Amino acid sequence: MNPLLEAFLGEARDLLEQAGARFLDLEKSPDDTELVNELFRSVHTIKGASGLFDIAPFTRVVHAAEDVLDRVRGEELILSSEHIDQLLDAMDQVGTWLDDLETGGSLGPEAESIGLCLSTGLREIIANCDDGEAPVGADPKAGEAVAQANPADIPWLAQVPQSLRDGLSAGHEQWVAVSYAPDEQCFFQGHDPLHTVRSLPGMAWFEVVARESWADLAALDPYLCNLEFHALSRAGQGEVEHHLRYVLDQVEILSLPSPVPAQPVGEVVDDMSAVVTPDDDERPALDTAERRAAAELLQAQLEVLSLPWEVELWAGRIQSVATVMARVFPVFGMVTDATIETAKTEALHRRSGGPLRVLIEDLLHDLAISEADIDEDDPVVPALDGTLDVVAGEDDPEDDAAQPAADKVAPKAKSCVLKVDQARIDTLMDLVGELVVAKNALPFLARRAEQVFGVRDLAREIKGQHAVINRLAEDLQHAVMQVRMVPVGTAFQRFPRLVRDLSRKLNKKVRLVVRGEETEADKNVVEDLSDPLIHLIRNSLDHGIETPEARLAAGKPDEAQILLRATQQDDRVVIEISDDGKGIDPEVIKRKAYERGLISEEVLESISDTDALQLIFAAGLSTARQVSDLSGRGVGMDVVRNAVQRAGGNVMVESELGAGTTVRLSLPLSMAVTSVMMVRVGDEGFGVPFEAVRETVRIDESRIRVIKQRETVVLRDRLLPLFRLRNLFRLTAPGRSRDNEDGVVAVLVVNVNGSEVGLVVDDFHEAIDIILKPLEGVMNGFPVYSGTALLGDGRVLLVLNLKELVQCR
Amino acid sequence: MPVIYKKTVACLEGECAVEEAEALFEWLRARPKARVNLRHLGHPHSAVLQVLMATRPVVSVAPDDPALAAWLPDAIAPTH
Repeated sequence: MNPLLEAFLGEARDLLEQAGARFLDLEKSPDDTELVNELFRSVHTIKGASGLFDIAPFTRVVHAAEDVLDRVRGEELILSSEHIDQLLDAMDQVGTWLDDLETGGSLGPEAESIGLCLSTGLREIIANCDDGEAPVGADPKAGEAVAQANPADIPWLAQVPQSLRDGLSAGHEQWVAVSYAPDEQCFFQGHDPLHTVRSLPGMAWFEVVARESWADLAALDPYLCNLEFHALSRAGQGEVEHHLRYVLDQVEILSLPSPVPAQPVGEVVDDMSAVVTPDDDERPALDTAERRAAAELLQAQLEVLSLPWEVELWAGRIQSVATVMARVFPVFGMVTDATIETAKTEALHRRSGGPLRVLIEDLLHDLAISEADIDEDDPVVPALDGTLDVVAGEDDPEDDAAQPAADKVAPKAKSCVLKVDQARIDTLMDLVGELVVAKNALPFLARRAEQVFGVRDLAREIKGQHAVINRLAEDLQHAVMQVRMVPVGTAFQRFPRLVRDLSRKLNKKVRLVVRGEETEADKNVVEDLSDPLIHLIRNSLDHGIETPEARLAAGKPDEAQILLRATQQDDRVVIEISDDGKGIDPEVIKRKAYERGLISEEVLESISDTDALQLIFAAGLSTARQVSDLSGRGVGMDVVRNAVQRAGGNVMVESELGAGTTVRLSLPLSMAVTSVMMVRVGDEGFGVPFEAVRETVRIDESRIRVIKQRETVVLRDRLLPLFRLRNLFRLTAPGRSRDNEDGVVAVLVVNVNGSEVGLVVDDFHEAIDIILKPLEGVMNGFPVYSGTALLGDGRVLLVLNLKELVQCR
Repeated sequence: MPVIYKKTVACLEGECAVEEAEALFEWLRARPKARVNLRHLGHPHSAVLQVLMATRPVVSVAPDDPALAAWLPDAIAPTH
């Protein structure tokens, strides 16, 4: 199976399972906003990922469910049990489709009608909540009627300018007629039908009319859509349908027939059409010269298809092959336009020339047979047979063009690869972790041997053994980590398709450049990465990159670039997503954040531009002017930060107005073992995550200044706010550090949310590797600790959550 | 500012988003003789388009964008 699909199936199933449980919880406590948010995110993510595959009914159902949840989130709608039932039915169907996708590679045969029924039902919930009226679901007859139509049946064709109509009746081109009657509520669903129509692929003409004559102005509601659109497109039906896939229940797409065969190309073809008329029922007898010409043409197309496959070129290549075939071969009466169109659409969706190639091979075969009847000595036939054998031998069209040589090597290479259940590796990793902790006990033992039992030599020997075990444990840990390492490229592989689809949809020209995909990181880290990256790339495409016209006007090349780069820096993997789009205006962000109440007025005035940019990660801030099905609902960046932080990483954004935006994710290579620095406050020891520690200093009490009731100290020309852990924890025990006696305090400078603060502690201790266990049970309610770890001497070390710590004063 | 309201002329500029529709509608309804200047209009949201079609103001300046000029004035004030 396609690894992309496999990843999607796994992810969607997880999310679906979560969503199912959440829906049930929601039924019990309908007021839980966090629950609704989580549900919304799950469904949002499934929808986003489903857009990568050609499963329109699936996407439509999830999209409808997402819209319902959006209403619930906006407190415009309270879900009844019936609504929950409906949503659960939809989720069940989605689950069934996932199974269908896994077994058959496509949705079931009735997917279209089931999907339409479910999404209509869900949309009715929204419609009912909006106006309390009877359901205004889509007219079932308006479903995706896709048929060959008689131009006389479409009254509005009379409005088409004469010049276009001439071309139409002459039948030189294939046309698709689209009638689009948007749902009355469509503005509330974030649709802009005019934009959808104006960006229709191959759009040649359109008109907009009022569906019902305009009511009295006093009674008119500008937010109830009363428009109807009619358009003619030169693009293929499949392409038009794809463009309108979110509103298919509101459109009627009719393919206009071409009464005369397609426009011939080239001299050869001219000759052919002169002798052949397509209306003949029987295949016309072709003379040898024509036959040979046809075979040569086919051969050339085959060659085009088997050239090395470059991502940027494939779509155009398939188009051109299909066009040549569509123009030439219906003339022979060998295939119909529809057959070629189907093969082309399939080829475009599968990103492979396979379907077209199969068609060409069939044609060549036919040609060869009929030719053999006439002239057995013809030299073209053996040559063709040779080609056919080679092509037929490669049964997987997905890979053969990209790596023809690899196929032969693969079977041998596979035998030395061992597939292991991840759970076993996880167990191994846990055991190594325990070993690391157990090994940490040896120094304590050595100290006891020396201090309690007074055997110095034994202590020295224990220390020597500790060094050996330490080295082995580290090697072992490293080796197990290597097993879990996968290239980050596995998280990247779905992006070329994503960028292509979105850029077409948005009418932007975008090139995706991927660098460093071979950089390796822990499997969990890489898996956690893929969702945030999808959001970031969507954001770049939707908001960052300008339209080609705007780019040219700004003096940039019309094709934008999104650079996805992974690098390893020490024990962290850094992933950058940079675009050369319009950048982010910190002023806009500041104002939005202030309007949404995310920052106070004084922060608004004092915040630096760099800090202001980081506000895009705050929950509930979206600068999109309009909600689209891409992004702009204000969850994206929030989700990104949460996901990255959960994986132990951090995320930063840099932007230059007019020049582009760079988002930098930094993640640990592995999450299993954490390094903490131990500090002592009173009699207690605490751990501080090592990556947050900037430096340790001892400063004189006299240098501490109180500014606005906050203790601060100037350290290297910077103002450092101080937090006395002793006060924060209300510790009164007199355990003073030996250094503090002469008015000197120990300050641990740490980085919290990108700014530095000083923690006043009693003493510093060494850094150790620990396995961080999350707090459970009653301890769960103390967010100030991020977890606990077992020390070598059996004590429990509390690890501080610095972000929470600086919140409490 | 996507819509600039002057005394009797509303200038629509750039991308007129869905939020503009209501204000524009109220403004045009209160001034039956008002005109609209579409010179710098980039893309009107469907809701904005619908307001223009319903209120049928006089178009004082057609859009500079030829793609818009080809149909928009005609849609606002049909000639047939």
